[in-house]
Amino acid sequence: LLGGSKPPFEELYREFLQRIYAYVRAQLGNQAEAEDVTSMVFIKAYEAYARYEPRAGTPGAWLFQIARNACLDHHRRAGRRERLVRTLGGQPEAQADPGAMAEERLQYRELMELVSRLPDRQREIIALRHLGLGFQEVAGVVGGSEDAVKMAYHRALRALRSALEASEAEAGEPR
Amino acid sequence: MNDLYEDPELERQLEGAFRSTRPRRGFEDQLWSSLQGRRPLVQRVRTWLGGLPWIPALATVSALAVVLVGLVFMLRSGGGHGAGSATSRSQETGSQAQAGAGGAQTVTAPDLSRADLGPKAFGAIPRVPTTVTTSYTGGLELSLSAPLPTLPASLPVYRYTEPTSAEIGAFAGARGAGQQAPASQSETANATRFAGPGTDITVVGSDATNLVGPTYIINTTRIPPSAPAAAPLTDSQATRNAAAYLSQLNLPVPADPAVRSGGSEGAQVLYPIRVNGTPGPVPEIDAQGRPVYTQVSMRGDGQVFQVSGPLPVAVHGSAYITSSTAALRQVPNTAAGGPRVRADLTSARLVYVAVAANGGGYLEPALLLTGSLQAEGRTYEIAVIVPVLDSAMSR
Repeated sequence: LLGGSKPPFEELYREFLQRIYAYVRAQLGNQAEAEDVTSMVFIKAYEAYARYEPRAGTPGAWLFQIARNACLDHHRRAGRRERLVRTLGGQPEAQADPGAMAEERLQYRELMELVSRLPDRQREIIALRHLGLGFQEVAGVVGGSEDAVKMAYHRALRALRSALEASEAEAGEPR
Repeated sequence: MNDLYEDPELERQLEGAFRSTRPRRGFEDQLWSSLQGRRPLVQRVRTWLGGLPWIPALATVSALAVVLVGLVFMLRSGGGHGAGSATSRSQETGSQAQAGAGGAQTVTAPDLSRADLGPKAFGAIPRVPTTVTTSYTGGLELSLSAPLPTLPASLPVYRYTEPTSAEIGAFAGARGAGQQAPASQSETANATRFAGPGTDITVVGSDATNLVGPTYIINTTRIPPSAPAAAPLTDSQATRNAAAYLSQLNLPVPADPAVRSGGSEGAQVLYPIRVNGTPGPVPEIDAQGRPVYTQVSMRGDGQVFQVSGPLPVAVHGSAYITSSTAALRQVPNTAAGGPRVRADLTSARLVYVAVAANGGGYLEPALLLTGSLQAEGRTYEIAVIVPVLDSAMSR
């Protein structure tokens, strides 16, 4: 789905649904709200696709721009952020998520929590960069120059590494 | 450019983290069905029938008739509960539950009834997990200042069994979607999709993690193209449309609807699910403390395109002994590292939660404690779910 071509919308949808959801989820934190906003993103994209001009940018960048605007709108309306569920007691037995998926989620949960604490702009840039956009495309979505986006990205990486190390050090201390 | 910090290992972890962030199963197809419902009808008909210029108007009438017939079928056979996009549960709250009693819906699909289940099926119920929901990610010291509701010595627990493939097929077939459709990559064996003329149905089995029972989503895929609305859809119009839609199809119209969003973007009318507790109906919630709903979704022009919610399954109840008030006040603290922030729980109310286990599940009473905490210069909401049954009754 490179720039210059206009694939059928379903192809775009299947290709980008997970990535758009992951981006929205990283910005909102809450699963249900992320689904609502993701739905709104694709509804708007679907209705606007006839007018979408591939020469203006890749379909991915176009979708992420819609997603970013939808997240900003959501924050303005809701004025609240992520809700996380932590289970203290015993989980219901048996029918939890399939093992591999659950393990993967556990492995990355802490990292995503740290991402959620980044400043808004750094969080957006980290998400967009790791969901397949180049720096130039990221700059087009969030605004600013490509160099400024790169700088913000690497600062975010450094901040995440520091936070990870602090978290690991904390985990090693007796409670 | 300077200060370009490099950390390939961290970047690899980020790739994995974002790649593994996926919507819940069934979401991809549900959303796609909704999108298809928004597609201009003429465009769809031309795709199906080769673009003959006189066909679309005829097909429109036929398609709407099929939708209506299918949904009337659903109505008469007792289907028709929806829930929020991430939640579900049956609205039937006992084998003798009464329709409309106390605002609770009671609809039983005959094809899903379970005459062989009774009190004898009890004796090994799982315990409702204590959960804490908040956006604050640090440690918490929970303080309960809310007066606890006076609980009776016992409360009903309702058991249901997970529907079989044949039962799910019958459910979908009776509602106009008799042909099993290919599952998407996002679906698991827990989700089954059916398609029919004008209707697309996905049934998702119980979700133990999110405390959600079997759920279904019915999308009407043949509806008129969007018409420019003369004025934005108001909440009262949305409520009237939803009620008319349910009534037209002979579906019960539950009490206390609420409207989400509205305006030109469309609206969702939410009917909270209630379970017959003691002494009266009690709201059902999910693992995040959110109410479970019947949900009717409509476009900005008021056209309904989706009804979703708990799959109607038969349930059978039995009384279980509740914990003492002193035991209920033993709210555990969270175990996150670092300093703990005090969170004051100022409200407590009885709720029901779906706990999936043993090829089915239980609607089990619990306490929902809510409050707030101050941290990092912000106010966070907090919700805690604690079981109310005597732990000796669970194992």
